[in-house]
Amino acid sequence: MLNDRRGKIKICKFCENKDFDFNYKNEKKLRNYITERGKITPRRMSGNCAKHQRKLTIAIKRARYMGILPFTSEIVK
Amino acid sequence: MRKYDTTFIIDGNLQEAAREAIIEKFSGILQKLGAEIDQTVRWGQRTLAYEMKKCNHGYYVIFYYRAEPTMIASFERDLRLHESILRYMTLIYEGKHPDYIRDEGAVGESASSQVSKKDTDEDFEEPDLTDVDEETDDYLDEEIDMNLPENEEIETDQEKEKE
Repeated sequence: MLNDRRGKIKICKFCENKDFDFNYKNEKKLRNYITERGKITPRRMSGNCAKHQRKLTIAIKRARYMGILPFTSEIVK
Repeated sequence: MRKYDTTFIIDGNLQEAAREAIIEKFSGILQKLGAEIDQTVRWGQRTLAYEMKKCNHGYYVIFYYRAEPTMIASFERDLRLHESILRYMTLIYEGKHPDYIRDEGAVGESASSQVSKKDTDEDFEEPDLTDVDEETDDYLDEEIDMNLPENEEIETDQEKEKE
């Protein structure tokens, strides 16, 4: 029962692939870590470790300020 | 001296001449302060993720330079006071300019490189196409030869069944 609810243990992708560029200009890659609404995906969904989630969050917030990523975006119906 | 990376957004509604004047102005300011500009990258016109100062488009420019920390404050003040600069961000940078950002700046160079690419493409395309055509013709002929008797047999079988 418990195992079913917890699901698979995810491994941080950035720990596996160390070449990732945490630059706020890296729009294409950062877009993988925001939802349709423009929210940053939580760690429980992306499976990132704390260190890399922090770096990612900073990059996304910088990108938002510079108009590269949205603060919010409405879902087009 | 430290390595810095300043990115700023120019109002996208400006004409090219006015935009270039702004870029020259700020590179001039940096040089006056005593900074050494390593690279100027024009990221180009982009759609902004949200409206800023009634603008939906912005022209992104990146300066890579080496400067003393005290120079940054006065440079950023100039950026802040300029009306056509929508946003700016200065960071200490390490490493190289990332590959995924194209420099639109050197218009003449990029245009010439594009032309040369086109020429090479044409050179490659012509022989390839003829070869492919010949090969496909061969295959087609073979297939037709193979298919016809099979079809005839099937038809004949069906006819036999009917009979």
